[in-house]
Order: sequence, then structure tokens, then C-alpha cells
Amino acid sequence: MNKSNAAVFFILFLLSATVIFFNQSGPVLFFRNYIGETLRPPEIIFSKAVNGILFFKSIFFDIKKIKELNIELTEENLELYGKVAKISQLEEENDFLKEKLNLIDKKSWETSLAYIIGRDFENNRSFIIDKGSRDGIVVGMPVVLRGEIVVGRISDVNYSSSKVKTIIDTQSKIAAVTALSKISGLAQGLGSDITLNLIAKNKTPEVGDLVISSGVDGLWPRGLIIGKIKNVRLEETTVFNSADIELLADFRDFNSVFVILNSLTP
Amino acid sequence: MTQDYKYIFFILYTGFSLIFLASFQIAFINHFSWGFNIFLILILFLILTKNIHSAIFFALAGGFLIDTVSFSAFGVTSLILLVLAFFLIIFQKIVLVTVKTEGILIMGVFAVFFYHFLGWAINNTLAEGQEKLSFYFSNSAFAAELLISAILIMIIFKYRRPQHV
Repeated sequence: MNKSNAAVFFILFLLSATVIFFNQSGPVLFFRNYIGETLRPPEIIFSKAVNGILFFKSIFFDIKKIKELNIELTEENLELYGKVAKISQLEEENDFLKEKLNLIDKKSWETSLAYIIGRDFENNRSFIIDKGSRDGIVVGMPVVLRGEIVVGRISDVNYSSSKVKTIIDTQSKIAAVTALSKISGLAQGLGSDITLNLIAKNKTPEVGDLVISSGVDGLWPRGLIIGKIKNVRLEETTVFNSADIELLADFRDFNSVFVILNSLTP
Repeated sequence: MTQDYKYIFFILYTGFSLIFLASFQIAFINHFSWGFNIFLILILFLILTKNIHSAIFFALAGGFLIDTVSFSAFGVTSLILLVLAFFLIIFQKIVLVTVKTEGILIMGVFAVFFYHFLGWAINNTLAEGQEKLSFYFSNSAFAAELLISAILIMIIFKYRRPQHV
């Protein structure tokens, strides 16, 4: 490397390091926003193209898989009919009791549908959606799939696009509770998986039990589905028990998500 | 005057190419569970063809563009690609003196390995030790990237620079 190349390298190296160091400063945010906005139109074109390709690919190559899945879902559907009948009865009772006690339904979230226009190279740790500050998106808003399954949170917002960090990211921590056994813990991203930590030593969650957000952290709304218990790790040497969580959906299979707009307001 | 127009067109062409490549990477290639890093291959190609200045510039610009979607802090991919370019420049001087095809192949494999290692090292430092090394290496996407990158760089050199292979 000659002197001129070394000088260019050194200057650009310092520039990169400065950008990382002053990540949340005004000029860096403006620069990032500008790049994000510039990339948005071609990203929309490419994401539509890839969705089209994948759709036709699934028609030709996944027929067998789709048929098997259809049989599985039909069986599951029959099971769910019974559960729905029970739940609708309970719902009726619940509404009646709420009315008697003058309780207001707190779970009324306003959501905004957003399409995924770009994805991270490293598996599913982050992606870009086509909604930004002009649509009322702010940093920290929860992002879910249909059925209130947690996907992640808004981490950066541009004018017309935003970055979502998924729950498998190592920065992700959600106060959680198991749906049936009501065991509390902390759902934490590991990069490619998610685990339920800080389970009391005398508690053992059941495999298959749903893990939902408990809302005690004040960051995530209560009742969002995180996943289900895959296996429990009981070790003598550790202070707490822990369990691996299986995600209910592969985020790569979805082209759209919902941003919960009003969960951050008290 | 003609020279000025040439410069303007060159800058515009470079800018559009960067936008095209970055959006193709983010919105198309990254959609699949297997893939490759366009900018890594581009930097490798530029270094092997001795366009050192361009390689360093593309490392910085490409990194910033990729960072609009990356889970890591803005600027990290630029830093990774810059450091990678630095080591590839040194590595190229040692390897390409003795071997040709094997050298290119070794550099391709080294680039992918080192890119992932640097990614882990920098992100782990920023995340205060929470990043697992296995996330960056032990997955099918890494193996696919290694294979695709090596094949692509070999194909590019076979058709663009036959004197090197």
C-alpha cells in the first residue's frame, strides 16, 4: 500500500469510526435518513420482483409441501372449532362481567400495515418497512404479525421508511410469562434464537406452553405472543432456570407486518 | 469541457451503480436464506485488479448503504469493509506473486471468513460481549456465501481478466 492509498484509508477509517461513535447525532441521523430515502424506490421495485419470483416458484416447486400443509391445517382447524366454541362462550361471560363491573377494554391497539422492502444479510435480525415518520412511526413501537405475534421493535425511523430489529437480536429483551403455567421470565434474543431466562429455580415451564409478553417492563404491551417453549434447561449450577423458545413463524416468510401505533402512550 | 462532462457522467454512473447494487443486495439477495455480499466481491475484484483507491471508496460507500438495514450500528459495515480492504491489499501482494487461480480462490475464502470474523469482533465489542461467534459462522448461509463468493470471483476473473488466471 503506497502513501497516498494509506492516507485515504486512514481518513476514511477515522470517518467510519466517527460515524459509529456519534451514531445518534443530528448530522449522522440526517445522513442515514438521506441514504434510506434514496434507496427506498429501487428497494420497493426489487422487493416486488422477488415476491413475484417466490410466488411463481412456490406454484411450481412447493405443491407437495402445500398439500401436506393443507391436510395438517385442516386437522388443526377442526380442533380449533371446538376451542373457538368454548372461547366464544367465555367471551360472552367476560363481556357480561365487564359490563357489570364497568370495566373498559384496555386492549384496543391502533395498528398500521407496513410492507417489508429490505432485509438484513445476517438471517432475520433486522429489516426495513415502507412506513416512516410521515406515517406516525416512532422509535420503540412494537411490530407484530397478524394474530399479535411479536416480530420486533422500530429501531430507526426515516421520513418514509423504518428499520425493525427483530426479537432474535441480542439487544432484544421482553418481560414474558407462560400462558398456562403463568411462569415469569425474560425473553432474550441470542442472535439466531430466543431464550426465556430468569425463571425461578422452583418453576418448570411445560414444553409447548405459549410464551406471551407480560407488560411488566412497560416497554411491550401485555398479551403479545412471543413463541412456545421448545425445551427446558434445568441446571444445578445456575441460579435460574431457562428455556429455549421456538418462534411460531419464520419472519422471512412474511412480506408485511403491523406496527402498533398507540402502545407507547399511557 | 468534454473532460468535465466525463467526470460528471462518471460520478453519476458510480452513484447510480452504488444505489442499484445496494438495493439489489438489500431487497433481492437478502430475501433468500443463502446469498453473497455484492460489495465484498466488488472490493475483492477491485483489489485484485489493483484499483486500490476505488476499492477503499466502495468499501466506505457500500458499507454505509448496507448499514441502512443492518442490525449493527450505522457505520459498522463500512468499518468492517474498510479493514477487510486493508488486509486484502496486503494479502494480495503476498499471494498473487506466487500463485494465480489458487491465489484468487484463497483470497475469496479469506475475505468471507475475515468479513464474518470482523463482524463478530466489532459487534461483540459494541454489544459488550453479547454476540455469539457461532451466529456468524455455524449456519448454512455462511457455507453458501463462502461457496457462491468463491465461484463468482473465479467466474468474474475468468471472463474479465484472463491474464490473472
